[in-house]
Amino acid sequence: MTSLPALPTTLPATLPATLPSPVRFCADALARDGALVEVANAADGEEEALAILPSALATRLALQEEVQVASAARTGAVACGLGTGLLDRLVDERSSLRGYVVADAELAAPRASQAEALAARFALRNAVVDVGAVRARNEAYAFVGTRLVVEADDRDEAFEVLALCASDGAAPDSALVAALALDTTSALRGAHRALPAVRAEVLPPRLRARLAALAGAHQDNVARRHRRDHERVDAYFHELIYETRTGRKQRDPAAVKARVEHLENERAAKLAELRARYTLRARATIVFAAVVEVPTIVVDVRVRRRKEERVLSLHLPSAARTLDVPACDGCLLPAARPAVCDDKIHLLCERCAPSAQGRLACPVCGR
Amino acid sequence: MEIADVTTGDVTALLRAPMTLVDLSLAVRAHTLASAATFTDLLSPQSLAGVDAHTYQHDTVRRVLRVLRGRALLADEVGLGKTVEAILVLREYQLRGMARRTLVIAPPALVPQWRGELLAKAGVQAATLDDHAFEQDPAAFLARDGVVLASLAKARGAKVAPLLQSASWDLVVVDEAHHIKKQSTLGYKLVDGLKSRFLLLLTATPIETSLEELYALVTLLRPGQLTTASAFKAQFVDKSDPTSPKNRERLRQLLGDVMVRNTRAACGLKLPPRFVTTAVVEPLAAERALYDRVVDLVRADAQAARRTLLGTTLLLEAGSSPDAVRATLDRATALDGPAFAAAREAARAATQTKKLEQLVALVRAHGGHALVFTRFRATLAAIERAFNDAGVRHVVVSGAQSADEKALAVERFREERCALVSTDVGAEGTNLQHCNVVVSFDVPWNPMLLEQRIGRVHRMGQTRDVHVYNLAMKGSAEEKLLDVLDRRLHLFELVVGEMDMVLGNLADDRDLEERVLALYAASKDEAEIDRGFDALAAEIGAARGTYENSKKLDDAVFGEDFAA
Ligand SMILES: [Zn+2]
Ligand SMILES: [Zn+2]
Repeated sequence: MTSLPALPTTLPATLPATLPSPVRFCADALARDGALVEVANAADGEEEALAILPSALATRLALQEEVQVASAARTGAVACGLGTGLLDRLVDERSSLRGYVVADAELAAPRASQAEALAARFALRNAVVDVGAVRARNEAYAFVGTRLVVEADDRDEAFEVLALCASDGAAPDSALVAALALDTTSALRGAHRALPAVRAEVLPPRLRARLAALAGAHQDNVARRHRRDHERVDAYFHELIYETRTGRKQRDPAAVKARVEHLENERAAKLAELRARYTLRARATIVFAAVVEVPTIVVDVRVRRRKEERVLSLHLPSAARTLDVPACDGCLLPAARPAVCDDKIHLLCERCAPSAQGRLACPVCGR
Repeated sequence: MEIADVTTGDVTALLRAPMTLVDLSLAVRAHTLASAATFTDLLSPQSLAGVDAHTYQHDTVRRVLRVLRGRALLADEVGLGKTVEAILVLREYQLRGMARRTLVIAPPALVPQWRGELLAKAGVQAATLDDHAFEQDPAAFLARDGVVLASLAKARGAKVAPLLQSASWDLVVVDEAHHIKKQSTLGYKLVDGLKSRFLLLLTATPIETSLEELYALVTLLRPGQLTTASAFKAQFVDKSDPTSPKNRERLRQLLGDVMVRNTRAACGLKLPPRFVTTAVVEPLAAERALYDRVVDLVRADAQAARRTLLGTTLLLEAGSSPDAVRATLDRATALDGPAFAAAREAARAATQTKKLEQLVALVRAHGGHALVFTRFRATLAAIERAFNDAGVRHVVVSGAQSADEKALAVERFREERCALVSTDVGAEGTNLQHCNVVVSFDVPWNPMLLEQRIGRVHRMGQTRDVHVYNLAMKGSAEEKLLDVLDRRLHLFELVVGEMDMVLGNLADDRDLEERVLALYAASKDEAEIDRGFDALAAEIGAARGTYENSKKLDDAVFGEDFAA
C-alpha cells in the first residue's frame, strides 16, 4: 500500500437542473444555527459564503469560527459540493428533522369562470353530472414530504412531495406544488392556528403505488441479474457434485456422500445469499407535512345515476390548470376517469371499476 | 419484491412537532440534495481529503460500480493506488447509502496504515478488532454501522471467523488478497463464508506461481465464473507453459467480468529515471572510535539482555552524527557502566563528522537546491551550523514546527531554490517535485523509509532526472546495508511500491531495523557481521526473484487487457 502521486483531476457532475445550491443550503443551515452569513458570487461565477460561527457550532462541525464556504474546492475555503463532509453532515442533520408547518399561500385566487368551465367538462363514465353552486374559499391542502428508497444490489432513491386536499384527499395539479416553492417557502406565510384535519388514510395506498412504480423500473434488471447469478452458481455446484460422484480421487462411498452433502449445503447457502442480495426492498418515509390554506374555487356538481344522486365538491386551487382529481372511494388513489356505483354513488377509479365490465361490482358496497 | 408498509401512524407522529418555515425550506433542500446522490456520476472525489485521484482511478471506480456491480478484483500494478481506489468505492457506496457496514481485512502490518488512510482521506473512523469494545461484546461490536478493520491473522482465527461470518456486511475489502488465493487456507475459507453484497479483492499479483491461483480469487467473487477447478485447468492451463493460458480470448472475456488491472504503461505513469549514489565517507579517527564504542555498548547491553530500543537508537545515531549520539547519552543520565562511560568519553572527543563536508560539496554541486533528510534533530542542528558556516542558504522543516511554519519553509524552499533540511516527519505530505536532488544524510535501515524520502520528489509531476545520494560512514551498518541493497541487489531501481512487495516476500517478518541490530548485538567481530549481511543479501535477493517472477507471470497473462 503506497500513497499516491497527485495529479489534479476534476470530474464534471451531472445533476438534475432543479438541484438546490449547496452553498446557499449550507449558508442557510449555518444561519439557522446562529451563524452570521453573507453569500456572494465569486469572480469565477461560483457561489461562496462567509460565515462567522458561534463557537459551539464551530466545534460541533469541526470548522473554524470564521469560515469561507465554496461550492468548489480551493485553498482557504471549505468545499461544500455534493459528497463533501460539510454538506453531508448538514444534509444529515436537516433531513433527520421531522415536523409540520401550518401556513397560508400567498398566491392569487383562481378565477371562478375557469373553475366553472372545467367543472362543466368533468365527466363520469356512467353518470350524468350537473354543475351547481360555485364559491370562493380557502381550502387546506397538505403537502407531505416523502423519501422513497428502493434497494437490492443497487439502490434508487427519490424525494417526492405528495399533495392532497386535506378534507377529501383529492389530488391537486402539480402546478400548485411548483407555485408554492417549498424549497424557498417564498409563497408561504406562517399561520398561527390549529392544524386542520387531514385525510391521512389516502397516504399509505398512494405511497405504496409510488414505491411500486419506482421499484418496477428496477425489477426486470434485478431479476435478470439474479437469474444470471443463480444459474451460474447452481451450474457450478451441479458440476462440482458431478465431479465428486464420478471423480477418480475419492472411491470411498461414505466420503463421497459426505462431500456431496457438504456441497449441497454450500449451494443452498450461496443461493440463499443471492436471494437476499437480489430481493428488491422498497420503503417510504414521511418526513414532513405542510398544511397550507390556498385560495380555491369550489364547484358543487350533482351526480345522478338511476334513482340515486350525490353532490361532489370539485376544487380549483390557485395556480392549478386542472381541477383536483377526487380520491377513489375504493382504493383511495386519485380517480382520473371515475365511474360511480349504482346503490351509493361511490366514486370509483378505473382499476376498481374497469370500463368493460357489465354490471359494476362496487368494492366499497361489497365490504 | 418487498414493499415495507406505510401507516397513517407515520403521519400522526409527524403532526405532533411544529416546525418553522425556515426549517421546512432547509428540510426540502436537504432531502433533495440527499436523494440527488442517485443521479450523480461520482461523489467520492469531492469527499476524499488530500487525494487528487487520477482519471484511471475514477474510471476504475465507475467500472466497479456500474459494470462489475461491486464485486471486483482490483489488480493494478504496484504503486498505482489500489487502496485509494478501494476507499473511493467505499465512500461512493457510503454516500449512496449502500455501505452501512463495511469490513476491511488486511495483513497485520498494513492495519495501522489502513486506519490512518481511512481517517485522513475519507474521514472514516474505523474500529478494529483490537478495540476494547470488541473484546467485551463481539456481537454488539459487529452489529454496529461503520467500518471494521481486521488483520487477516486475527480474522481467520477459530474464535473470530465465525463471528465475522455470522454478521451481515454490505462491503468487504480484502487487501493483499494473494494471501487467500489457496482454497485450502483459513483465509480463503473465512472470506468465502462472509455474507456481503459487495466484495473487493486487492492484489498486484493475482498470479504468483500459476494460473490456478487466479481461479480461487475469481471464484470468491463469482462462484462458477471459471467453472470448476478441474474444468478450468483443462480449459485454460497449458501444462508446458504456465505463463501462457490456452483459450486466451475466452479467459479474457471471463476475467473482464470481475477484474480491473491498470498498468503504468497504459496510464502514462512513467517517471523520469532516478540515479542513486552511495557516497561512502572515510570517518575521522574520533568518529570511528565513537562508532566502535557504541557497537561495544550494543553488545554489552545485549549480553545483559537490556535496552534494545536504546541500542538501535544509538547505533543509528552513530551512523548519523556524533551530535545525535551525544544528545541521547546526555539525556540518559541514569545509565552507567564501563561501556557507557567509554561511549560518553568518545562522544565528547568526536566533535566533527566528515559527512558534513561531503554534504556541503554535494549541495553546492547541485546549485544549492537539494532536499536533505536526517532522522535526528541533533543532526539537523549540526547540518544547519555547517550550512551557516559554509554560506549555504537553507530552510528547515521538522516535527517540532507548527503547520504554518512548515508551510512557510516549504514555500521559501520552492521560491528561493535553496536547500531544505528536514526530518522524516517534517516533510510528510508536501509536494516537493520542483527539486530533483535528495540527500539522505543518514540512512535508515528500513529501505521503505528511504524509498519514502525519495518519493517526496520522485513522483508524478517530476519532469527531470532525480539524483539520490545516500551518505554513509565507511565501516558503518549503513554502508554494509547500502552495499547489499544498492550495489548488490539494485533495489533502488524498483518502481514505487515494488520495494514493499519484495520486502513483503521475506520469510523473516521482523523489521529490518530489528534484524540489523540483532546482527550487531549477537556478533563478536566484523567478519561475523559481514556474514550476517551476506545472508540478508541472499534472502532479499530471493524475495526479489519471487516478486519478479510473479510480475512476469502477471504481465504475460494480463498485459494491458484489463485497464479501466
Ligand atoms: Zn380505486
Ligand atoms: Zn358502492
